[in-house]
Amino acid sequence: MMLSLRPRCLDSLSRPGRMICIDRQGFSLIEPIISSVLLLIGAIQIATLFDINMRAVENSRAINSADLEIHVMIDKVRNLGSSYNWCNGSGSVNTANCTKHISEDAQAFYSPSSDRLSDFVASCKDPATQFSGSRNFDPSKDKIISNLSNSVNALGNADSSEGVKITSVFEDEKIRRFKISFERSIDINGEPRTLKRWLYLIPDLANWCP
Amino acid sequence: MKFVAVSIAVLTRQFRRFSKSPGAIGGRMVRQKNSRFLHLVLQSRVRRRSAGFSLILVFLMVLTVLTTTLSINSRLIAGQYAESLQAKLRMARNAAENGLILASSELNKPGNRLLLGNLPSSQWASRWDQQQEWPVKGNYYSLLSDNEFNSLSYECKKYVTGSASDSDYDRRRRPFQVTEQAVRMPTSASLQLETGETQSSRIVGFKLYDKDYNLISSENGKVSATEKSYLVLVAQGYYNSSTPYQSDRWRVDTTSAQYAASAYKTTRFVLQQEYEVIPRCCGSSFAEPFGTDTVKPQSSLKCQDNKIVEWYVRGTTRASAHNSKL
Repeated sequence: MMLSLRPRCLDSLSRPGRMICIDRQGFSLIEPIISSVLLLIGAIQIATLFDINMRAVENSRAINSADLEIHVMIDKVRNLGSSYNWCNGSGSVNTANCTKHISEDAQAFYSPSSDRLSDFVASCKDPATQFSGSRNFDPSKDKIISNLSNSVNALGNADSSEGVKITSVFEDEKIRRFKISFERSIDINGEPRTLKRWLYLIPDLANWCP
Repeated sequence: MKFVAVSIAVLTRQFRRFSKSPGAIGGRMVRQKNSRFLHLVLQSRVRRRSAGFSLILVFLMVLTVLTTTLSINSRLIAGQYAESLQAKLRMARNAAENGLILASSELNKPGNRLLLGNLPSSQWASRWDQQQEWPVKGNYYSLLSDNEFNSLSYECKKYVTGSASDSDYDRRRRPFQVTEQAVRMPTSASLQLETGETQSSRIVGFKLYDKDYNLISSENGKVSATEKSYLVLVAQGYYNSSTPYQSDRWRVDTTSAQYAASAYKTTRFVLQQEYEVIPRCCGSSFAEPFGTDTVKPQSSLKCQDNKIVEWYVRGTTRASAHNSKL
């Protein structure tokens, strides 16, 4: 039987799928070992490459996300600064206090009536005082925009690891120029890293001061 | 010869007879020998083929998987680079926006409010460089003579600052000092200022227009004392993680070797904004038609109550982003 099979088997070696004769060719130990080692090395390389890349992508996304979060907050603060008004006599971020909107009548929005303009100008001439032991001035002490300063600070989080932390100071108290810092802490490979961005802001209302 | 020929013929017949017979032992043995010989030859070839084929397969597999992995990684890196690019552009734009605020507010400082309507912009820096031509008192330079300054209303000298060691005259006069940052703005040598720890900004364009948008000449033109004018500022924002600052931390050291070496790492963003330039009287708010204050500026550059006309940069009327460069 075997003898009658061999020629067919040998003849069929050129055809795919006929493995009946392979078991008769012996077993090589070195080939699977080399193959396994090569595959293992390849697999480790691939795994390492992916791990490094995925970490880099994750870190990049974390930084980008924190940066975007800060910029969203910057836009909020900028909008707050442009909508800040003098409609309730001591400055307000609530536009509902105004009978006219800035888009309808900017002049009325910032200086609603001449009799109150004198109060406004008098308050303007009393700029903020300096922080003790610092070169910066405390905007919350300003007679015109102390409410705005408090609202800006209230927008932020006390802890930068939980959200954007906002710190506002006057860089130039005479023209009411804020220098506002935005901080956001994130974890990069288990280590905390703080992103810091700056915004210079002059609320439109301050431009009406002499 | 005949014997030899007959013998061969007999042997051949015998061989044929044996080989044709199904049960012949001699024929089987011959076929078996031939078959084994062929089998051995082919088997050795098959073994060689089998060994080579196995290794090549592994090489191909590893190569294919590696190529695929590298392709995926390249894609990931490209995405990561794009994200980084966006973040850098945001930083540069942020710097440009901050630069515009710093530039406009610099012109609004009390000492610089007289510049726009008293001196053509091309003379600002040259007058600064020729300091002896300016009215000089102490270390300060202003556009007002001593007589003009002394005759001013007290409200115009309101924001008095200065150290205790300054004389009373200097302390009062300080708010009316022109700053270098303002006078350099219309020139190509405008100062590059810090607008964040890794950001800076510089004014690269400065133009003045009258109320009808006619260009005001920088050589001999000045803005109106009674009507609105327009100021167009173009700021270039820079983002560079190794930007060197001078010791005062507000000006970039553009002459340093470190700055030149890190130039290729800089991301730039250009922004343009147009502002209104409104004349008003010092110590007062905006008067008609720009506000409700009763003290109005005159074309003679004088106002009532011993006040003078100053120019204030207000609001943003138009803005546009020009271009960016990495």
